[in-house]
Formats: sequence, structure tokens, C-alpha cells
Amino acid sequence: MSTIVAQVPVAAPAPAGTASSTPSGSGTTQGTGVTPGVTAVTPSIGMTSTDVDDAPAAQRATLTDLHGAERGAAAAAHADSLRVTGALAPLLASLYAASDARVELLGAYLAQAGDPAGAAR
Amino acid sequence: MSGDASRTARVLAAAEADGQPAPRLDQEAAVGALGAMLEACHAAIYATATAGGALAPLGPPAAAARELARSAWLAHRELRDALVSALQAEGARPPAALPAYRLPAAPVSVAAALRVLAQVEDACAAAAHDATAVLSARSRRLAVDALGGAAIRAQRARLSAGLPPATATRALPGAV
Repeated sequence: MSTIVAQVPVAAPAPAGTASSTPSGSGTTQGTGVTPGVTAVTPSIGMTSTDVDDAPAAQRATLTDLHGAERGAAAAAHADSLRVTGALAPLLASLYAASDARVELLGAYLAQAGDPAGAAR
Repeated sequence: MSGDASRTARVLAAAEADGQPAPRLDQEAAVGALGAMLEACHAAIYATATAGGALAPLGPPAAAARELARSAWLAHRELRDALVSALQAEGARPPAALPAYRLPAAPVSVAAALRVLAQVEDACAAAAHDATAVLSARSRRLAVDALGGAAIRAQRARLSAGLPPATATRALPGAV
């Protein structure tokens, strides 16, 4: 059985001596390609980093990533809601509607951040 | 008999009275769901028109809210026509609009009008949400798209009213 630690992507180098505490070949870490002790970790959506970059360009990039991810989620939920039947259909339709609304919200934030094309993307 | 069941019976009875064959059982649920969406849509058309009219004398400060009311009115008119066509394709008689509807609040100010617009969209979203469970894939697209449109318009109204995104958005629109 894999541990919770093993299921969470590594976002920072593990402290010395902890690498050997993870059972070899267990859980999902086996295929992640993350090597403990390697410092070159690029933060992405949903991952935290100790380096704070509040520059407008960084904010626009983050919003653009979120906007694109949300659009993808909305499209997937829309397609799924038409494919399934019964009790699952309302849930997927509702998830689609929520994602679609968030796409518009993120588009508004993008426009505020100086990317007027954000809402139209 | 519940409201939905009596509505279905009413619509189906109207269809049979016209000499059309009695629909199948799975059609009954679809007709009931489409009828519920259409009745919510009729009310939304009335509410958005009333809100737009009430906002008109308020001048430029109400211009943005009035535009929201106008675009919602247009969207619901388009949806109404699509729902009427869908019901007729099922062999049912679409329920007619009532002469008037009781609004949740009098849209006497921009804030009140925006609240009405959001509440109307929430009601339409709930009807569309419930409809997706019983509609076939062919007509479910209508309900799914209607749910998405209602969620966005409700969010716009709440954001325009000054609510923060955390309360202007809904985690699962239509799921009450």
C-alpha cells in the first residue's frame, strides 16, 4: 500500500535522510520520475512554491493556465453529460455549467490583468 | 399528485385531446421535464422584461443592469422557442405563458433588479438540471446548454450586484 506522502508529487527537495524512508517501488511515485534531492522543480497549477513571483507577467501566465485548464474541464464535462444517462447526467451537466461560469470569471480576471483577449479565448 | 406529475398529466392530456396518440412512459418524463423548463422560461421572460422596464427610468447608473436584463430576456426567448419545438417534436402541447407572474422582489432599484435576475436564472437552472436526468441525448443538449447559460447569467447578475466571486459563483449550478 502506498503512503499519502508517496501519492503527493514532490514539490521541494526532500530533507536529507528521508529518501530512504519511502519504500522502494511502492505506489505512484515509481513512475513520476522525481528524484529526491533534485532541486529543479517547476511549479505548476495546484503546486506550491517557496518562490513568490507577483510580477504581472507571472500572474497573467498563471491565469492563462487556469483559464485553459478550466475550458478543457468544461468541454469534457459537457461531452460527458451528453454521453451518460440517469443520475450522473445532472451532476456532469452541473459541473459543466460551473466550469463554464469559472471560464468567464477567469476571463474577466485575465482582462483585468492586461490580457483583453483572455475572455475571448 | 406532485406539481411535476400534474404538469405532465396536463400536457399529455392536452396532446390526447388533440387526437394525438398517447406518448410512451419514457416520453412522459421527457415531456414533463421540458414542460417544467418551458414554464420556468416563461416566468424568466416576464421577469427579465419587467426588470428591464423598471430599470429604464433609472438612467445611466442602471445601464449595465438593464443590458443584463435585456440579454437575459433575449436568451430566454430563444430558449422558449427551442423548448416549444422540442415539446412539439415529442407530440405534446407546450404549456402557455401565464398572464403575469409574482416576482420574488419588486425590481425598483438596480440592486433589487439584479437579485431578481439572479433568482430567475437559478430557477431556470434548477429546471434544466432536473431535466438532464430524464431527457434523451438528443434533447438533453438543450437542457445542458440552458443550464450553462443560466449559470453564467446568474453569476453575472451577482457579480454586477457587487458580490465577491466566492458567493457569486455556484459549485453545482441547478443542484439545489
